[in-house]
Amino acid sequence: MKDSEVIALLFERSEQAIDALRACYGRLVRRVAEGITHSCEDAEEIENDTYLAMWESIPPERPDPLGAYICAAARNLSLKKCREKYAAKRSAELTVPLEELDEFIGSDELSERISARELGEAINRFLDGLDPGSRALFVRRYYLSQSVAESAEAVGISENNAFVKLSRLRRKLKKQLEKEGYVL
Amino acid sequence: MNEKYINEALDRVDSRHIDEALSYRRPRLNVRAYIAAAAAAAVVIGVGVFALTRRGETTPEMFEGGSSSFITAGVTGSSKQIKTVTPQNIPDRIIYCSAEEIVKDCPLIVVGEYTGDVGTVPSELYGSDTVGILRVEKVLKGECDETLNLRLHYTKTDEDEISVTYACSEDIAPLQPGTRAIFCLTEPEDGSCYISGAYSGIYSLGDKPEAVYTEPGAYNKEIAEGLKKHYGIEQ
Repeated sequence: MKDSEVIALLFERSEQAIDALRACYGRLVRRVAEGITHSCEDAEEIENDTYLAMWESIPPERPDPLGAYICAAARNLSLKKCREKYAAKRSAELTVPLEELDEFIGSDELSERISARELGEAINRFLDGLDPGSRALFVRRYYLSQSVAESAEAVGISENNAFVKLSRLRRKLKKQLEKEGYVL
Repeated sequence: MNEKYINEALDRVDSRHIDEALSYRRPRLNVRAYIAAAAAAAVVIGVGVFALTRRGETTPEMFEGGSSSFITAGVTGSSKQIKTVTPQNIPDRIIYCSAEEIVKDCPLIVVGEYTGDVGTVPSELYGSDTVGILRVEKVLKGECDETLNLRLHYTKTDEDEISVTYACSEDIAPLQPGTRAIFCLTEPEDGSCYISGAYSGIYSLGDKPEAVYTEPGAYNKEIAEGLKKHYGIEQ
């Protein structure tokens, strides 16, 4: 089923929309949630909460692409869950990856020049240009907020190698943003 | 820190990148080395391998007496010693020479993810099999449960040695956890089944090059055409 058809079902307030979301994105949503929470039970709960969030936000929203939107909802619900469940310790772990990115792309100047949406699109272009391994490492570390060790293990490289690679990737992202005319 | 701003930007990350990152496993096989290893295996096995490539032919005579040999497999970053064991009294064995034949002949074809080995079990025919879990995502032909016990013709004897109980070049690389592919399977018995025709029954998903043992997407089209032609099944 196409995204537009799923969205049409949500606009019609048809309960089939939930089945359609589950069929199209259920697996991905669960995996995003599992990737962040490391808990099947939490992932199941988050999956249902994600469908509820879709039901409540569409309409009025008409997200395009729907995939990124539903993944973002699952991601944010998962991060929230982790923060609630593990309080300070895990919460700090979840913030570290963002701090790493902030060092390169979080300047006030940049946020004044381009919207978060534009920055997101630039990040997508950056990811398009990477090899699959680097892309997976970047997404696991910064999107799923996984530890360096965990991200490294997932892509089959050593932790040290991952540290170096991530540092290069951040520099590369910064360079690309500069190349695209965004002064950092 | 501009956490909200960065978070909002990351929320725009394309779902295909996320899906890919969650499925990604470092490719274990160097294609050139793999081909070399396959060629070496073919030499070790001798002319009998040609008999195996013809569907429906039986192979007991080629394995009479049994034998074993060592080859070096092309595992990226290291040379892993693989012991190939050809047990005696191998039963009738079918190796398919085309995806279309597999589609027609296999009772069960699924898209699934191999989640990893869980142990070994004694096998009357092969000494022992490794058993792993296959999580079924989509059934293309036949019927089965959401998870299957996949019996594989190899046993890891230690870190660097894998005893393969079928002298077939496709067997040399154990299935990696996270491998997503089209699996052509034998009829499940008590929830367990084998991959049809040794590893010749694994077909890559076109957009998942990490899941393959052959060229990325090499056979996916052929399988899709076979399923559509014979069973009207669209992937």
